[in-house]
Amino acid sequence: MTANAEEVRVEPGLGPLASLYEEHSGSAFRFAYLLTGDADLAEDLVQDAFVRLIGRFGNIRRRESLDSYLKHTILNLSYGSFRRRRVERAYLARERALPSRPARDFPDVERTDELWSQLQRVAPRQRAALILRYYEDLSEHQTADFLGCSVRTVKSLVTRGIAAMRAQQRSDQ
Amino acid sequence: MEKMERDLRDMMQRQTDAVDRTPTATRALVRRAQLRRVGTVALTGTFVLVLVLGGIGVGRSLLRDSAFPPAKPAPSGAHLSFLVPCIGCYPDSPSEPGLSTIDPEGSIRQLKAYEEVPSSCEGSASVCGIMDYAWSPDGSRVAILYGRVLDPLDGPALALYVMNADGSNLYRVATCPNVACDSFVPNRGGGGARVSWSPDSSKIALSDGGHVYLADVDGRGLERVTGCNSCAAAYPAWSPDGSSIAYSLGAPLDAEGLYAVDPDGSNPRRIAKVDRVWDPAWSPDGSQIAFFGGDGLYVVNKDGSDLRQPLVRLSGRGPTPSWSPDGERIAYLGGEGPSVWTVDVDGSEKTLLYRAECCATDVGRPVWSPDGSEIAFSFELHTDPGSPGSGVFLMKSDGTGVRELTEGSKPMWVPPGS
Repeated sequence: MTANAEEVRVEPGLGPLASLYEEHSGSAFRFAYLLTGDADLAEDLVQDAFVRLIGRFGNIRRRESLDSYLKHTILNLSYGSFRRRRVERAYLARERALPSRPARDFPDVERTDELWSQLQRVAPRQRAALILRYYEDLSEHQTADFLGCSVRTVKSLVTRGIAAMRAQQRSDQ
Repeated sequence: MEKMERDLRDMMQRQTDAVDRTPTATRALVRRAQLRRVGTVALTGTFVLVLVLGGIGVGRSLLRDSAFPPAKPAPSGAHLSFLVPCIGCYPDSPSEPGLSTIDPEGSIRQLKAYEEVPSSCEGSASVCGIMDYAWSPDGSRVAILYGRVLDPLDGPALALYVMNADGSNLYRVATCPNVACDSFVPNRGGGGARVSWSPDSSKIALSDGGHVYLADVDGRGLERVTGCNSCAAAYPAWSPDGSSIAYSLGAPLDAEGLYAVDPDGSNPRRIAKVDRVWDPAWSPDGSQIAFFGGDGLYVVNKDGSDLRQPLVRLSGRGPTPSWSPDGERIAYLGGEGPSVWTVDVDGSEKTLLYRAECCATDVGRPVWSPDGSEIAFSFELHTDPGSPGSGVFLMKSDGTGVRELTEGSKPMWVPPGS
């Protein structure tokens, strides 16, 4: 999708949508990437989220909530992709062939790749809770608001997510 | 913070630093949107999106129909329907989020997925889903009240849909702003949003928590039947003979109570002066109404006479009481740890049928099977680790044979012949 996409330089002052894009797209992309583990899919999700934003642009009353709005939309959209990929991922997990990301230029590459692979195998809602808590730095209350659940459920999701990653770690060893 | 959490935080930061890039396609899209003017693109984009999503929905529906085996007919013909309420909650569940049926042998068939319901909630920033649903008495159709309660951007939204019993032919009957969302009462948490069919299956009573409306099932008409602009009319329940609609009134405070109104909006009357009324339920013969309110479970004659002391004293909210088909007993959810009880209409024979050992809250109403032999209910379990969320349970009406059927909530019995 991105290879042939029209390159457009978004200039400041072109309009409210451009400035919103400049402000929010990077953060939205990083969030989507952590959720999906796939940069191309993350771009698709961000694009879909912006399409929906355009459709509702005139009705948005609280512009300061846009970042949250985009991420909510990305999260909801991502669940569809999780479902589609569930069978594939289960097969890969069985075959112990879940691909890890290529090594990057930072220390402790092996450990990072292990964690990345483990995070991608955690249940989607648990993964979302982990990302919101440890990457977005939301409090438990804020995470609960975001996910539309109770604080107790957030604690449960995080605990179970960490436990699942530890279990994977043990089995990988 | 433990090492695992620290490592996780560092890893996520490194990964996003390493791949950070700007979604170029999104840039193009934003640029085009600016050139065409935002307003025009908003309309066009939304229209195209709806068409595309609709097409995807049809495709997915076809795929899903072929993937899910048809529900096996049970000896009694009794199937349950239930909701899987949240997207992504149950990644390993056999049930996708949406409305499904299950037969006593455990075969699940999804009637409608959330994503197949076009809605003004599309892309909503807050929880949006099926707030209530009801089978038509003739079993031919299902009414779905779909919406969101609290949205930081757009406020509440509701839409009433009807579809055939097999999930086909979904269409929108009413939506905001036809349903006056501005009358929505947030402090009810959406609890007042309810649908109830007329006995002849031609109309649907619904509430947004502020007013009660009647909708023609063919979508041709929507009328408000409660008149007070500042009132909080909720939980409509159509009488079995079709002559009245009971509802609760939560505001103004000095007028709180259980009310009824004729379907044409005339003859509004207070049946019981009890505060904090929830979920009225008509007896099968239509002569009495059971409801939770004040400090317990009440039964009152339909004309308001014989309002007895609470059959059962309970603090807090109790979900809809459920009449046995013979009209002699009422099932309800009790406190002190989520539990299911039955009691005779005269208040005697209070019987504990089932109590969760720990870690659960009630999330739905107990419902008697049409033949009175079984009761379905749903609890949300908190038995970490591995808790599946809310579960639909089934037991015999004497409390024996409790078994969890599936993840989900809001079980209802599918009318015979559906």
